[in-house]
Amino acid sequence: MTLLEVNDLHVTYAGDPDVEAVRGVSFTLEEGETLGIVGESGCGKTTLAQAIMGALPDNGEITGGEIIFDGEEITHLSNRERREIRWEMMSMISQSAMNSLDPVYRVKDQIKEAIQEHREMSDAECYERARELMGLVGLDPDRVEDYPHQLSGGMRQRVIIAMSLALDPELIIADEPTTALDVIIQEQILYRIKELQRELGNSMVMVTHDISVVAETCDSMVVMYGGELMESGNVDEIFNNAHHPYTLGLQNAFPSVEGEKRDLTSIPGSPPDLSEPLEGCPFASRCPFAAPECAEEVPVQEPVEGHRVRCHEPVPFEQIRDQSREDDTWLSENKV
Amino acid sequence: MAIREQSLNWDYDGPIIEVTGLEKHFPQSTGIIHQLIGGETSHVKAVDGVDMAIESGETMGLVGESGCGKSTLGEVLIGLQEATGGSIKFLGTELEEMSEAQHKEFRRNVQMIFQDPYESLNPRFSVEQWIREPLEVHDIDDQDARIYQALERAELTPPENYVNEHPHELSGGERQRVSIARALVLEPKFIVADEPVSMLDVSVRASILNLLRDLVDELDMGALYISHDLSLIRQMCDRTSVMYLGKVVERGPTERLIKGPKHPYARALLDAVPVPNPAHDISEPQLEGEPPDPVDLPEGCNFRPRCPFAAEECFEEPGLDAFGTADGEHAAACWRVETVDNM
Repeated sequence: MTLLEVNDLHVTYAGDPDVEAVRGVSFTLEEGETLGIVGESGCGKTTLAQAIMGALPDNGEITGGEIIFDGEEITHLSNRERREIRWEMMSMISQSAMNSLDPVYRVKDQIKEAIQEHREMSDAECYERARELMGLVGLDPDRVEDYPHQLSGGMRQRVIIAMSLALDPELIIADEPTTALDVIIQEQILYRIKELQRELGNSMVMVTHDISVVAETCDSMVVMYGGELMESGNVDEIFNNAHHPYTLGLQNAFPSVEGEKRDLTSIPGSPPDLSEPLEGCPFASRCPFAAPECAEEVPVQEPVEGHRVRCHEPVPFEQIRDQSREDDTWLSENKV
Repeated sequence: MAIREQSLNWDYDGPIIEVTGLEKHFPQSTGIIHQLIGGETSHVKAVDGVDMAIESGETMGLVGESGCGKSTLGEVLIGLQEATGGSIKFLGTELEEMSEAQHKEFRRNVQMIFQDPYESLNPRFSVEQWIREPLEVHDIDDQDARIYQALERAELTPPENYVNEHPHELSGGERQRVSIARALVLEPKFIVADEPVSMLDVSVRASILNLLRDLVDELDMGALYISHDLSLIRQMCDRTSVMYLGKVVERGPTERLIKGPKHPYARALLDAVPVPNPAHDISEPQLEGEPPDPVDLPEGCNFRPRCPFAAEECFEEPGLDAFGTADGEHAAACWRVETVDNM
């Protein structure tokens, strides 16, 4: 069953000038599934997550499209109604959350507050729940008595995960949950998140710049660039059969400790200015395969059912796949 | 002043930089009462007995978790922090015994490239001012020509398009290139790069890594590349040292270390690196918890309390000579390598 459906979503930040950070993104998330949203800084992935969560900054506004959660269109709900869904139905683990714990309250009181905002529960019941949650995320339950400064970065991030689970949400949105952590702690946290998901059966959206995290933890993925969706589908399909030049560029830029060592490619240039309206493909200015038609409306192709690619295919995809492995292809003077 | 004074031994054919038994211990501040009653001062042993030699044209990788002492080691190597024990030789001359002129020459020949190009650039300086500053400090002539050459080496071309820019007008990748140009303008013989690409987008990382690798080669420098990510180290480094709680626990040619790590810590570190391959699901972590406080180090092997393979003999501290391959190039500070290999 579909838990979350995002249709042609647009999000704009008011400012001088306005910035349209998300520009017509659509995808669906099935129950129990983990979806990765991957892209580089400024691609709109965090904005997209915040829009779903109803946690956009004050100057951010959904300017088009719809978000259907559990069968209900939620972009039209009032702030109060959104708040009720938030945490109760969906919760968020963010990049900066581990620094957002209040330094003057014990962990147990912060968890208690999160619960009591939404549910009638006695203090004693909340503390009991707090201890239970600590166990779930692999922390000693006695550490509910600690203040945040007594915990390491990895432990604080586990507390944030514990808080996000406090109300048994159906959907957890994790925005770069391990970016600030070392690889060993990252592995512990991601493994724990996946284990909990198996036990609790919730769905998840994982927002990250790291395609290897997506490969190891997600079922399906969305690749974003310049506020738009470039390619989406099942993770196995996208990794083994990527079509879009940007997806291929990212994959070939990514180092691995597995297999034979290979040279990495890079993508010269920088992302488009999102304060300007953009015709055609946002990646065209950096794409070595771009042709005149790329300045026009981009068609969605579906090479395999459920695998969507937004590209004019200026040269055959087979050729794009082969040539994108060579660093020379990406150098501007060698553009085809 | 010309850029190469000849007060150091430039004909020396040994390693550019060589340290033995290097220590950097920070005293822990204890209360005044504690001191009055004659309590002993405890120390954080950030670097605790490191031997390392780096040749010209070679990039050594240094990998470990945060708090393992890798950044401190980098800073001690280029004189940003003073060692509290052991020896540092630059071109064969002991740092402690250098004359004032030699020390100045040393300072000019060792440079650092930092993690965060946003933080390391003064927002009010133009690119030109930023790169000129070290030339002023060391009173070097031909400044304009050197600035242009450094920008060209960092592939910021044509240089005239960049000299008047300010940090906020540059992309992340360009800012890191400016940091590189500044580090190279003095034509150093040894550079330390501390997580130089971790703040950059994936699509520009490779170009910065390739640039650094080419420059080390072309300018025949020695380099220490510090990172917590072995997949990046693999792209950059000829040899790699794995650091845990102030000590080097494994060293070897990078490709051999990645294909066959020996120390249990190196095995865990490698296992934890996510790989961009969906056939590889996240596996159960080999290590629980986090490294202990480097004040209160365990008896024997530092890694013993977290090590899944620890045994009786691990109460005796292993040196980097505890395990070595026949050719002597790959070594690990672990008594149990052969046992674990056969498990």
